[in-house]
Amino acid sequence: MKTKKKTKWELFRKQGALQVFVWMGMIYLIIFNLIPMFGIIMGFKDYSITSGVKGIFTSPWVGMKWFREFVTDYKFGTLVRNTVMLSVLKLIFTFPLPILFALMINEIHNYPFKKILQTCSYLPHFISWVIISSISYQFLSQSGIINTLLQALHLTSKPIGFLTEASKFWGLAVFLDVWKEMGWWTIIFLAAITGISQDYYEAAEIDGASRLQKIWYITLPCIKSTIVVVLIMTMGNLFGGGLSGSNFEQCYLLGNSVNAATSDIIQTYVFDVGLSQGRYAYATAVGLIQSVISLILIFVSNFVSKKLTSQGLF
Amino acid sequence: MKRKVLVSMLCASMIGSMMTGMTVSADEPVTLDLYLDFTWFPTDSWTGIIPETLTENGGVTFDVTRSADDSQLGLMIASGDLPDVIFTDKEIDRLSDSNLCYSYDELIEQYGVDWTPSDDRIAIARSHNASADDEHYYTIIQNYNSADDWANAADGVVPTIPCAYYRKDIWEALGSPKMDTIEDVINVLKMVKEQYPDMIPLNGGNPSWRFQAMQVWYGVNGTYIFDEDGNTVLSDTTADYHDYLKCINDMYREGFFPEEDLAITNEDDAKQLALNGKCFMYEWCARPTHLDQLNTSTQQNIPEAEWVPLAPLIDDSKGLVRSNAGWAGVFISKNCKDPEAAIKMIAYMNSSEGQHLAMWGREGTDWTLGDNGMPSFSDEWVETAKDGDKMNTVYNNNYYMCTTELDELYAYYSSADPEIVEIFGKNKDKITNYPEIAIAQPVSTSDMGIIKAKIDEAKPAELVKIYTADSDEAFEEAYQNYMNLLDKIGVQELNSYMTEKVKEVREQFGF
Amino acid sequence: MARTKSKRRRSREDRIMDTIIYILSIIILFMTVYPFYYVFMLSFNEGIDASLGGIYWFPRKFTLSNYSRFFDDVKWLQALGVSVLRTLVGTGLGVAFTTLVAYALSFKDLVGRKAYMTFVIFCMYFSGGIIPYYTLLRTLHLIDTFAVYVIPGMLSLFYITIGRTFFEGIPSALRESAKIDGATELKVFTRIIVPISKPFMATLALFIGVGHWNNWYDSTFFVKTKSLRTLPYLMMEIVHQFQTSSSTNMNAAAHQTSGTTSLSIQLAAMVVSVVPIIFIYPFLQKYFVTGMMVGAVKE
Repeated sequence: MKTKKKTKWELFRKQGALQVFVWMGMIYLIIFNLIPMFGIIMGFKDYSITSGVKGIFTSPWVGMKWFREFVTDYKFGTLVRNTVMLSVLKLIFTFPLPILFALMINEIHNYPFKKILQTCSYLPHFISWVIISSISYQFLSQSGIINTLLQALHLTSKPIGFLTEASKFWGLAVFLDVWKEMGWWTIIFLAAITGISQDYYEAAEIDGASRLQKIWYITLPCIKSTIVVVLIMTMGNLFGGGLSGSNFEQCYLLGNSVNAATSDIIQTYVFDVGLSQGRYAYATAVGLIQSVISLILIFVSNFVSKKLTSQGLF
Repeated sequence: MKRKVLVSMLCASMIGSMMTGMTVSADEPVTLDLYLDFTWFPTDSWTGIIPETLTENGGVTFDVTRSADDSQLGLMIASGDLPDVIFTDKEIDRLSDSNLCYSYDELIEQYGVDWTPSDDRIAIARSHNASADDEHYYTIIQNYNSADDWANAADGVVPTIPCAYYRKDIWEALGSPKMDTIEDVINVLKMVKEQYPDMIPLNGGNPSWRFQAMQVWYGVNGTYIFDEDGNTVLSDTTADYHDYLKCINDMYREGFFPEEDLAITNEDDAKQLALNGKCFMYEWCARPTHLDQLNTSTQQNIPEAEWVPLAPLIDDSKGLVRSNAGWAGVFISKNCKDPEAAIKMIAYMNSSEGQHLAMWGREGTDWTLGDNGMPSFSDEWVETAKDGDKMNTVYNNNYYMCTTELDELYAYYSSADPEIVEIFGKNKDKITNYPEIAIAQPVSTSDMGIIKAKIDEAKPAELVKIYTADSDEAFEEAYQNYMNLLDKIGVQELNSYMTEKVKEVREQFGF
Repeated sequence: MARTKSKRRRSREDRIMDTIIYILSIIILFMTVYPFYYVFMLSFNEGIDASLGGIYWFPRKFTLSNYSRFFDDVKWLQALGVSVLRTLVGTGLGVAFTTLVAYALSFKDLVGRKAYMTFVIFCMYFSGGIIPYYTLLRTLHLIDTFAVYVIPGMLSLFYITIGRTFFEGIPSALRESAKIDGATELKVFTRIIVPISKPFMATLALFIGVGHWNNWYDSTFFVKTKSLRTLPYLMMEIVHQFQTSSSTNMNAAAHQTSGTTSLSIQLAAMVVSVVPIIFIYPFLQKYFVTGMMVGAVKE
């Protein structure tokens, strides 16, 4: 026991420089992330901003009052449903589509075209949601380009309220998320595909495998580890909107009173009560619930993945 | 020990203020920070003829910061980083607090300022106090006039009420059908729908004024109104509000406005539809200057277009309940570098000379008082006013921090077309202002205030469901759901609170 | 050789698949590029005319006036300068620091590694909210300084996790040999690790750089001096100008009226903010593939 401790300490000293690097990072995190976390106790206190920062410590404890208020709020059910549904839909679509797109790009043999397609497809990743929501208004409003086109082609007699109908919101959010992020996340999978040895394919060709069979039996198994890593990262931020973490921005920018039935999510609610109504304590409590759930999700999915595939993020 | 520090600090600040007092006498204006808590404010600099003259006479020049986000001021309050002087409408309740701001009465007394605000204005300010026992007042809310002021107001001025404007040229092409009753108006909209199928008969997009003109028809315009028993209630809970909702739902089902209108959150998006000639009726508020703007901008696209206001159709039995007690106030924070200079400047800006200067420019140069009791503006002023951006840089008449509602309205009505004013002013005698309603409103940080905030949050989405119900049954169901929801949030408590409180305020101040 | 083989053996399946792939690709390509083109084109069209709709390919009433406010006004140029500077400095610091920490964490025998990583993940998901954060920045005297743009975001937690995996892929023999020659850890890092980590660092630079370029939040809440404001801040200001916040008071609502069309100016603002990204992007994009790959694939 004693010797083990000693060797650890010796190892620590031997790693002096590396430990300094890490501790620079840790000290930085302690200052900029850990210290401000005392604000979390607001979630258990009757805090009013007029009492200043000191008030965070001096205001009276209220225990779980805010948590109870949230759970019994008339909106609670809707908020949870919308958050979960939107997140799960994004998991179903925005996670696998980049894989399919990567497989497709890999099947293009015209090099210049492949390059152009790939380069253009990352571009939307760099545009902020504020701008994308303005663009989507241009395209998807009832007098927008898409509706004009659909009407000209007689595909619809009445313009479709993409931006207003509650039944269209989840589809809209998922579609825009795919539009913005598909190309970017394709990079990872495409890179993994490029790393696969050509020998496998040649062997399969001799066996008379078709292109689809090659994809199914060679490409997909070979990129399994990449898929798992990306999946864990997606799970960790499931309720934030997966890889791109776009739930809040989308719902905040594209939500309106007409589609509120499907576009109100926990994050926008936290924003509204916290910042617009100035109820910081309540908003902290609601936000805390989401943080805890996210943390549990990422640890659980990391654990499960380590057990099943011996792959893990940490 | 602590006391010693305090004493020495007080001494230092006194010496400081004495020194600044000296500098004022040397005609060197004091510079203070001014925070404008409005992201949409048209200017963010203390420049132009009017601010410069205000500084000359009031002794303070402001270093202006315009809010970049609605939650910014909240953060400043929490962190104790308040600027010297703050002009806000959202945080009045929080800033009316002795920990954060100087009270006007104490500053006035301490520095012997020659200004005594009227009792009703002090009452309005005090109604916002964070603590009910607090006897002080921390602001004077602008844009308010007493009932007496209104009784003595110049002829031809109409308070700001909702107004529906319609395209006169198209109406004439329809054969100038009658528009005297609600049925007439609906009939005209129907004709527009038939004969101009590409047009939206009623533009319901303007988020601030959405269907408010129709609320006037049913006597439910205003957040709170009085029911038959004289109780003050949230207008949504009255039977008349049901009729109003039914009317909007009927119009929706007639196809007078698309659902998409209801999703617009940006006034400009709605106005575009009016300026493009895509709609027949547009909802805004009754002001000659608004009408001018509408006409000028639309005529750039459609030369023959002409907008005119629809006279407010107010039912004799109902009347129109206004509850204006001003809407924003100036605060002097405890961080203020020079509270003496600040209160003196604010006192000056609250004098009628300062008020007129802020709104109308220099007396004699930019305006002279006309026979009708309204200012008559110089040609240069009128010419500049045609270009909003130029007006902001040359004169900059945006600092209405201490002006009254009438001063502002005179500026809009001074050269208005009498014919238009007559339409605006039809049924003017049925409009009554009840400032006690505004005073009685719960402070936003109280439990009642939270109920109100929850109602405001739930309301837009619920109203959309009611407006767009596709059958009578669906309408009744949606309406019932809304009423149940309001009950669940606690509207009954709010109504009884308001009823009691309004009574209290009336007894206290004799409104 | 492989190519001729595949050409000769083009089967029915190949033809069908290729057709589907090319049609899909062209649709995707169009859907991605056209919105950008549309915004660009419409920003050169006269405002009120643009709002009438019906413009798809070329401006109907060409004008440069939508851009005039961006280039006439000195505050826009100033903000552009601040934005460029913060992006350069912030990206430099961020890449250096994140890489260093991720590199150190990549050692499998590092004492306390699991605890460090758990702490990093914890910090990723929890925060105390803006009020304590603001107070912290004020205590550190960062409020209203240029440093507030570059210091607080120096460590990118998400990319620590990716970077760590990337460095794990570097053969340890490479380091060992250098260490035998007597080089210090820092020297090994700068002389050996950094040169072969270019792809990862370029990806990181782009990620952090775009974050800096698009960030309006810190300029809004932590900076008061007008000359220190950033481009996205001014853009948000324009957006706010045309937004009405809900007010129950009619007199307040009546003030919130704007005169001119906002759409074209917003579009021009978009172009101004997007063009620099499009210009820098080709220089870095060749690194993405390797950078992202090695980071995410664990052997």
